[in-house]
Amino acid sequence: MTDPTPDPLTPGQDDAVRRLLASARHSDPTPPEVVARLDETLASLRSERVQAPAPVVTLASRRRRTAATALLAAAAVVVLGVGIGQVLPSGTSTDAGSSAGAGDSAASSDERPATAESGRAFDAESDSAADAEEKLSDLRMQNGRTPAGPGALTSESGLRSQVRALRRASLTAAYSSSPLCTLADARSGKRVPVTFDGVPAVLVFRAPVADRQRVDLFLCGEASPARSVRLRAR
Amino acid sequence: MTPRPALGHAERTDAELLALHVDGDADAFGELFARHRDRLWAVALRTMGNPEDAADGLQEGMIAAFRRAGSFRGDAAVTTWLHRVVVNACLDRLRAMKVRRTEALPDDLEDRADRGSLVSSTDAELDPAELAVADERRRTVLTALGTLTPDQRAALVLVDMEGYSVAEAAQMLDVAEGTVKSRCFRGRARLAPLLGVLAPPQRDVADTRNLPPTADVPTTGPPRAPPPAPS
Repeated sequence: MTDPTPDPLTPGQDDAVRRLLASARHSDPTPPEVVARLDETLASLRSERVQAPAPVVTLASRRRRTAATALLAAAAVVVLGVGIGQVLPSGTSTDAGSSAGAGDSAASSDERPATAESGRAFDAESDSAADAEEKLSDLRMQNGRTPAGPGALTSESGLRSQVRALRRASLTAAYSSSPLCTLADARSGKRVPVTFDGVPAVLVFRAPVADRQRVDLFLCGEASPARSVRLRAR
Repeated sequence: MTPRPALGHAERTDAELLALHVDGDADAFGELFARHRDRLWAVALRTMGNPEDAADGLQEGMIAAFRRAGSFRGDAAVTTWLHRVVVNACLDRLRAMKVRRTEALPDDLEDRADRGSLVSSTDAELDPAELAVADERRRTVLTALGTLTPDQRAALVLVDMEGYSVAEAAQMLDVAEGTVKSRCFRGRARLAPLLGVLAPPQRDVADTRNLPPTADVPTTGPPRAPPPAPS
């Protein structure tokens, strides 16, 4: 609804309105009860600050960080375009996954942090739990909480669904190892450079065993995987 | 060279206080806000229209300023930035309420009457009759002000009531100067009839003498004779 243009006032009328407005200016001090309320609020803000000193992030530093992350993600996506084709297990067709019946929702385990102590073992979880996590992850992705590029992984969403999305990309090209990222793990597997929370990393797609394929996420320079997930082989 | 004594908060500039607050000083923001509190209160009161909502708006603005101090870029005066935060908090509140206030705004008149100050510092020189007239005039202005849109009201409060320049008001409202001018123009034009500004000029109130005699009304019929005496 737009305000119809009113008739213009003469200079004298304009001055008269302005004088009347000026005469209604509030010139008294803030009432004591309002001052007391503000002081109380201020004290609360101070105590909040002392209890949880949040680091002040300036806009400039935030922009720099965002730009660096975006640049890194973009670079990873470009390299990904070269390397993702090698991810698909050799000897299996892309149609195999779709004809596998229940599909990935039947996968029996989810991602689990891997430590040096726990080695490569990961516990199986129930299908329903995995499905729930997968749905939740998909929902998060719909809500835009995951990075724009498929190679930019994040800990905020389920890793399994992100890895699946990468595998679904079905890009074909050979992976060329980045001099910035070396892996101590010499075991075989198709390697895909990615970023994880902005940190350069590599996904290693192991050879499928039965109908399962294990995927390890290594942060660059780390000897053990930071995360491991298991997918239904395609 | 003798060391320079540390300045107390009272001697600091607004910008220094804000920087101290961002750096973690516990008292700097309180000193800064207290400096501008009365004027911010006046703006909040006139924008919101009543003390209760004004107190809420001012409080929300203060909280926002406290927490977002790190985002102050220094491209405007600190007081301008504070006004912007408080005015935005008030406008956000008004929009959330989705109520255009048409009821009487000047709730503060009663409070002021209690304190013996009704209109301004010159009120003491006014006699009770003049005070009553000024009271009524203020009430009329504030009631009319309440019929405007929040954006128009905020522009008029800053420019015509608080005396800020259009450029300053534009910074406070985070709009172009032309937008402020337009809002003021439309707002004044809407207020004019409500304030009786468009009415024809009245006689000077001080001229209380009798009207000058006018000419006799001319007769149109034949002259009448006295009724005949009864016989």
